[in-house]
Amino acid sequence: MLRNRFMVFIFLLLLITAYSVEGLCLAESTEQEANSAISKAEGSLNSAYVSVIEGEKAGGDVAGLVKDLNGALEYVSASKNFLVANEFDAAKADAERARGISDSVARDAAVLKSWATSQGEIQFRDNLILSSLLAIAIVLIGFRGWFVFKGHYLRRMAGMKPEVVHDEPG
Amino acid sequence: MSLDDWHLTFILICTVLIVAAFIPVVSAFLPRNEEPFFALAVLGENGMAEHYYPDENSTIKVGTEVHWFIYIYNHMGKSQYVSIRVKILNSTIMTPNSTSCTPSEAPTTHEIRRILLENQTWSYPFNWILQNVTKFDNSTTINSLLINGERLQSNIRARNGYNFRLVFELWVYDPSSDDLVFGWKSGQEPSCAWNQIWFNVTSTR
Repeated sequence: MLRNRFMVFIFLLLLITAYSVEGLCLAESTEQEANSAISKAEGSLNSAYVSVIEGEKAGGDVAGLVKDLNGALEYVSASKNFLVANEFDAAKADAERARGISDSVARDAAVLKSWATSQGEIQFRDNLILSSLLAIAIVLIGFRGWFVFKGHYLRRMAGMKPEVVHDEPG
Repeated sequence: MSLDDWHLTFILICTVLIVAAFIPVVSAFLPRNEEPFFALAVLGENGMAEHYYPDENSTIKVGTEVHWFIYIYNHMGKSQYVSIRVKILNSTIMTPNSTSCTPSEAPTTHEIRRILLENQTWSYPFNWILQNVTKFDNSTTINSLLINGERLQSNIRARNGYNFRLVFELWVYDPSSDDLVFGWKSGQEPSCAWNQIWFNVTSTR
């Protein structure tokens, strides 16, 4: 009887110890997870920013994407504050939100870059065509204008009568 | 004017018009000659360069809220990812070096990150309160302060509470190093922006 009670006591002791150790391990891993989530969020944010810059360089309007990225930055900032306050779950959650936004911005920025590049090419082609047409029109109008002017000028010259002026004796 | 003179005039006018017609095409290849820069300023409670201290007294009491604004303008030719690092210094800690663009060695107390569009101005409210200040002999130590509601630790001390300063450094994300760096490149020259505001501290409320 006593032996059974002792075995139950040992079992409960082991159970409580195991639970405590598990709890500690969970708390530690949550802090690590939160730190890791913040690092990943910052990495995603940096990549998204580079994608936004490429989209902007291609001529795209990135105002909306920058606004979203600033939202992601606020989540990262909040996440760091939670980490300092040992609120690891909240820290991890905010970091993951920031990462989600950043990844979404990176995808949108890639699409924007592709669209802006093709738009830029179309605009360049249109400008080239319009400028060429304008140049041809200038040459044609110039030629036509020159010949009209030349004819007018020559007719006027031909219609002129030479005038002889005699010097008066002094 | 002779006919030859008129002929030359016509050719010149046509050439000028043809060159003008190609300006939209050529402009796509023209380099930007503007100098890139950031502007950083710390403004007083009205958003102007005045009224930095409550009651115009530069000796700040514990628990007194100070209202400033951090002003940044991006003229770098593209969107920029920036960070403002706020550091508390006394009169002996080295400030950032504007020539070599080296940041202050003091630890960052508070950091604000933001992505600014080209030509965008951003004004950020910076409200701070000295929360815990201790005085021992002639030395006054700032132990903690609240910046925009966030409690931050510090251990900066100054003799008799004189000549503390808050330094604001502008750090910019550099894609090549994948990190924030103090300052930026303006052509081949390094440029940087930082600001400081001096204040004294009294441990009385």
